[in-house]
Amino acid sequence: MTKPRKTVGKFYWLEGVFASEVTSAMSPEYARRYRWVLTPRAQRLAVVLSVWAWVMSAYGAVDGPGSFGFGASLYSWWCLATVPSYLLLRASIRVVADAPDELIDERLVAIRDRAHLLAYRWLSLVVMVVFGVLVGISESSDTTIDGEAMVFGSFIMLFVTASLPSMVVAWQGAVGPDE
Amino acid sequence: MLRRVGRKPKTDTPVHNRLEAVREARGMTRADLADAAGVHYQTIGYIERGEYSPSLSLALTLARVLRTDIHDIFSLAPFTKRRDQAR
Repeated sequence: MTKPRKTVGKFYWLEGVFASEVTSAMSPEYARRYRWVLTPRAQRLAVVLSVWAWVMSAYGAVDGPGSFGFGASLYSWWCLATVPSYLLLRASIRVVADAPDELIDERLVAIRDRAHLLAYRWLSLVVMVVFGVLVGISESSDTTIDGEAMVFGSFIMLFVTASLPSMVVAWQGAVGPDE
Repeated sequence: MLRRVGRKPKTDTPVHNRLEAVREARGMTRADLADAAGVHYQTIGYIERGEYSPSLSLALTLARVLRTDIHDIFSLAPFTKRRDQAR
C-alpha cells in the first residue's frame, strides 16, 4: 500500500469514492462501531436486500402506470430501497470493492480485483437474462415497455453494474470483522 | 461451497511463518507492525494465521521492520521447537 501525498478531501473519479470514506472504513474504530454490519450474515443480507430491491423495482417499472415507476403499483416504491441497500452493501465490506490501489494493501487489492473479475462474469449472465426478459415482454401482446420504463430499467442496471463487485466480496465474506 | 477470496493462500506449497512470535518478541502490536509495514492491520492477522501469503516485497519489508532475516519469519518447512530456539 503506497502512502499518497495528499488524500484529504480527494475524490477518486474512476472509483467514485472519497479518500476519507475509504480510510475511515479501514480504521479499527469503524470495525468497532459497525461490527454488526461487517458480519457474514449482515453482508449476505445486504446482498439479498439489494437483489430484492432490483427485482421489485423492475417489476414496478413494467407494472406501474405512472412516470419512472412511481405509479399506483406498490412494488415501484422499491426503487427507493436501491440506494440505501447499495450504501449498506458498500459499508458492509468497508468499501473494498471500490477502493483505489493507493489506499489499500496488496491483500485487499487481490480481493478487489478477484471480485471485479467474478462480477464481470456474472454481469454477462445478468445482461443475458435481462435481454431475454425484454424480448419476452416485447413479444407479448398484453404488455409493452414504454420509454419511461426503459429509463427506469437503465437506472436499475446502473446499480446492478456498480454493486456486483461489492456483492461478490460480501457474499464470499472476504472482508469481515476484526478477529 | 463458495471459495473465500483472500482467506486462504492460493498456493499448493504452504508457507509457514512465525511472524506472531517475532512480532511479540519485539514488543509490537499488530497495528504497530501494520503501520510500519504500510499494510492494513487485518493483513498482519491473516498472515499470522496462515490465511494469506505475503508477496516477496511485503515479506522482506516485514523482515526489515522486525530487524531480522526473512528466513527467521517465513519458511517452506514447518518451524520446529529446535529451529525456534536456534533463532
